[in-house]
Formats: sequence, structure tokens, C-alpha cells
Amino acid sequence: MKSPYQNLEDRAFWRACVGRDDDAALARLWSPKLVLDRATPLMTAGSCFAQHLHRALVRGGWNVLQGEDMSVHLPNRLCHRYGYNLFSARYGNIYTARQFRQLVEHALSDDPPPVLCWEKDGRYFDALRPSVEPEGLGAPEDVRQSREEHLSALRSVLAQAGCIVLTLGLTECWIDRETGLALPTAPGTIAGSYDPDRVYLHNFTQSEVMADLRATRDLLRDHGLQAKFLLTVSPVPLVATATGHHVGPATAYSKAVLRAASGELSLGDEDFDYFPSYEIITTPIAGGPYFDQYGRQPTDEGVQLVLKAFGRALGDDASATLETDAVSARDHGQDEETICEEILLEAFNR
Amino acid sequence: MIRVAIIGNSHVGAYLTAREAIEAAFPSVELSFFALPRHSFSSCVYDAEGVLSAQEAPKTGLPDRIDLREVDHILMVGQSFAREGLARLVQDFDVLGLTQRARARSVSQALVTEYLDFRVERYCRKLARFLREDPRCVVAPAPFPAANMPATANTPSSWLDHPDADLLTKIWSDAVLWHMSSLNYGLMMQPDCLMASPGRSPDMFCRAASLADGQTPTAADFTHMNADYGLAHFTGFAHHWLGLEPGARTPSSSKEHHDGLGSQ
Repeated sequence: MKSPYQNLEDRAFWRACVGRDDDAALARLWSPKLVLDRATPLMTAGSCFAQHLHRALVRGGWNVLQGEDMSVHLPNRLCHRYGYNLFSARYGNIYTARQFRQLVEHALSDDPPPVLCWEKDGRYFDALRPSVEPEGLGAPEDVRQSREEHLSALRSVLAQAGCIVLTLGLTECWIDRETGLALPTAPGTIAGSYDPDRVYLHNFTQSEVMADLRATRDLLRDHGLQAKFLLTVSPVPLVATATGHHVGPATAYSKAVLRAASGELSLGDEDFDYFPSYEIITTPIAGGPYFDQYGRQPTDEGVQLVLKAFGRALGDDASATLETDAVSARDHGQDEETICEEILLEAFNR
Repeated sequence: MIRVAIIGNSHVGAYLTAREAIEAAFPSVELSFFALPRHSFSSCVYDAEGVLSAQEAPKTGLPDRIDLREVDHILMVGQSFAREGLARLVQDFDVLGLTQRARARSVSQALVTEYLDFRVERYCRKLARFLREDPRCVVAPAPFPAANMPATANTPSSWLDHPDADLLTKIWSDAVLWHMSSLNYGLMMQPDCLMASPGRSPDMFCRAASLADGQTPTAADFTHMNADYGLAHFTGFAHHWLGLEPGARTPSSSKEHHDGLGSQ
């Protein structure tokens, strides 16, 4: 009698591979569709977890693009506080596929970018990346200038990128009614004020997420840009939900939608691949889960495993680099706080 | 006698060249001098006995140590307080809200302020370690460049060419005042009589104004001061910190004597 499970690799069987974090097991966690090596220009973007990935890739010696580099001028702590060198450009956290689509549209458009300003105590914040100027700017015109410079830098990054490592974080999103712009955080969290007549909550579905990602890809191709997408899903749970549900099931919905959308795109579209950082951090497949004592932030060990699995699957032997990275991570510990607007929500709840 | 040690970097040269004039104007003052090799705090050790020694061979003609045990006051001059960091930032970026200079990228004033706060705080920590916050020590920032200094990039003072140099100067000064206020050292900001405008020294006090005929000034001759400056600055120090006024003032020589210090 024959079974379709006969002669399958070990990695097809839970008992044979779960809980292993040795090199061979890590190498089998992901079968890359995309052709990547250390020379491939990578653009990083996404939610809080994308900051971990960005740092780990930079330390690991991958060719991570940096469109608005400030590392020569500023110490890490200050760079990060002002949104520099957290990702490949200074766009702040991008939590939803809609936000990313919108950002690429603005960067590639010939029209002047829309500017949505939030005010707080006489200071002005870019509502599309409110955390990058923690003290705000002196005038709306400064916000506009800063945004134009940012989008110009982003255009250059998009033009160079061979692969966009995009970490999807949320499906819940606040939308500005007048402009239709997707916001990274609710008004009233960092600046501005919440007015239900001006913003509404939208919880994206799988088909909407997929449509946004495909539209982003199509836009790049329309402009002759060839970057492919390596999707990941942030393992970091929602800090709060505005849907009226419990945050636990709301998190499960969000992650399930993002994981399913990534999976479906990866299965059926050659421009998209999925890398299982979500599974490495949240499940026991590589000895995890790897969360801190509060059960929300991934541990350094988990993040290092993610990078190791990434390299091993691509046939990259980077053990020496990783050891150096571990030392570097310790040395710079005080500068390595992940910047996350979501944390502010917690402050509001205290 | 009141014994005053003037230590620091190449800016010590202004006081060395004014030595005769200072001692003539303040007969009760006895001066000694010391310059740190390479301007670097790490080039010297201030031992438990109170002797400051160079850990590497100084330039020929410079003392390699100074005994501070019997000194009543220490005037540490020429301290940059991280001005060069501000220069680099303003050279590469426009500052939002200030006059734009067609740079490709901008930074916010808040970032400039926080950056200077970070750099000056770190500088002050080094200063504090260097002489272990010896309360005899008064620290003086380096003089500002002369008002007639030609605009040159890549100098530690190029930010002063910015149309809003006044504001940038104030941001830097505020950071210096704030962080020095937590140290046991005294702080001697630039006296008004030695300022032509915010961030600029009067032309007459720079080395370029005192060069012998036929000598072509370099950029350093506009950032380093002459003996007249040395006397004037010391007079301000003596007034405020020693309670002394100049007595028989002897006109200082305007001729520059490098005394081996030069513009390092």
C-alpha cells in the first residue's frame, strides 16, 4: 500500500523537525523562491518587528539599502529617536499593506505628495509618519518639505531595490475620511485629536491585503522597477484593538489574515515569497516561542534565529558574522529599543 | 603671588605670546603653561599627586608635564565643546524653519538641539574626568573665528557662515551653559568685549591681524587669536575669578610668537 506521505523529507513531519534550531533544521525552514544573496539590494519596511529584521540584516552584512542614512552624523539612539536608520528610509512603522501601497504611490507620483498635518501644542506632525519628529516641526510647511525630501530619498531606494522585505503587522487601520489616507496610528495618540467625523476604523480582509500588495507590485512594474517581495508577518501581538473584541482573538484575526494573504500570494505569484519569521518566533518549530517575559516582544535569541534561518536557507554561511553581531547587540543595548507607536496606546491606558 | 596655570590646546598660544604683558598688568600673578598633545584629553594623565603629564612625545619645544600641585588657579582654554559636530551637521543639511541653503536634505531644529545636547554633554563628561572636576579649574570655550574670516567649508566653524548663525550659536551656548552648570569647574564664556557679533571675534584679535608684512594668513590664523586677545581674555578672567584689575598695563606686542605651539 502506498501513501503520499511516504518518502517525504523529515521537514514534512512535525515530530522529526519540531524544536530543532541546529543549522540543518534552520536551513529547511524556508525554501526560497526568490533568488537572493548578500549582494541583493534589500529594502526593509513594515511594523515594529521589521526594525528587528532591519538591524539583524545590517549586522549580518546583507546589502540593506539606506536612503536617509544619518549614522555618520548621529549616535544610534538619536538616529532611531528621529526615525533614521530604522528601515531603508525614514517612513516610520508601516503596519498595513494599504499604508505601504499608499507610500509607494506617493513616492512614484509626479504630483505633489498629499500632506496631512496633525497639530499638538503649536507643533506640527506628519500624520503619515508622526513618530519621526518626536517634538514635531514648527510649521506645516516644514512638514511638507520634510515629506518631499523623504519621498525623494524613497524613490531612489525603490529604484535600487532588488527585494522588498515587507513585514506586515496589522489589519486594523484608521482612515482619514476626507483624503482616504491610511494612517499608521489613530489621531490623538501622538498628535492631533480623535474625531469620529474625520477618521474611521477599517479592519482589512485577506482579499483587500492581497489586492493592496498586488497593486503595489503593479505600480512598481509600471515604473520599470523590478523589486520582488519577501513577505513576513510580525509575531508581535496587537497592543490594543478598536474593534470592540478581545485583543486576543483580534490579534489572531489580524495575524491569520496577514499570514493567509502572504501564503496565497507566495503560492500563486512569482513576485512574492514568504519567510516564516512569524512561525519561528511564535511556535515551537525552532525551539520557541521566543517572547520576552511579557509575552509580546520577541527575544534577541529569537531574532538571531530568524536571521540565521534566513541565511541558512539561502546557503549562506554567516556564523562568524553572527557571533560578532551578538557582541555588537550587547554593546549597543541601550540604543536598540524598538520604536513603536503602539506602545503609546498602552501609556494612554494607564 | 597668585599662581595660574593656563592649559589647553593650540589656543594657549595667545596667552603665551601675551605672557609679558599679562605679568606686567598683573604683577601679583605668576603664569605657567601646558598644551595637550593633539588636543586630546587621552594624551595626558593627571596623576594622584597633581602632575599633568603627556603620555606621548610633545612637539619639540613644548613642555611634557606641568605640576599643578602648587597652582592656585587653572585656566583651561580653547575648548571646542563639540562645535565641530554642529559644523558638520549644518554643512550637510538645511535646518527646517531656518534660512534654506539648497541642501538636498533637512533636519529639524529639535534634532539639532538634541544632537548638540548629546555632544556637549559627552564633551563635559570627558572634561570632568580629565581633571577630576578640580575646583581650581575654570574652562573657557575656544574663541570664535574672526569676523573677517573668509567663508571656508570644512572648518570647525563653518556653521557660522549660516544666515541664522545667531540662533545656532545660541543653541550651542545654551547646551554648554546647561551641562557645565553641573560640573565643579568654573565656566568663562566669551566676554562681550571679545565678541564682534554672535559667534564672531573682532578682527583685530586674530592672528591674521598680527602677521608680519608679507605673510599670507591661513584659515587657522582667523580661528586662533593673538597676544592682544590673550591679554584681554586674561584680564576678563582676572577680574571675575581672581578679583584683580590690571595695574601697570604694558602694551602687548602684536607680533606673533608661536613658542612652538602654532596651530596644531
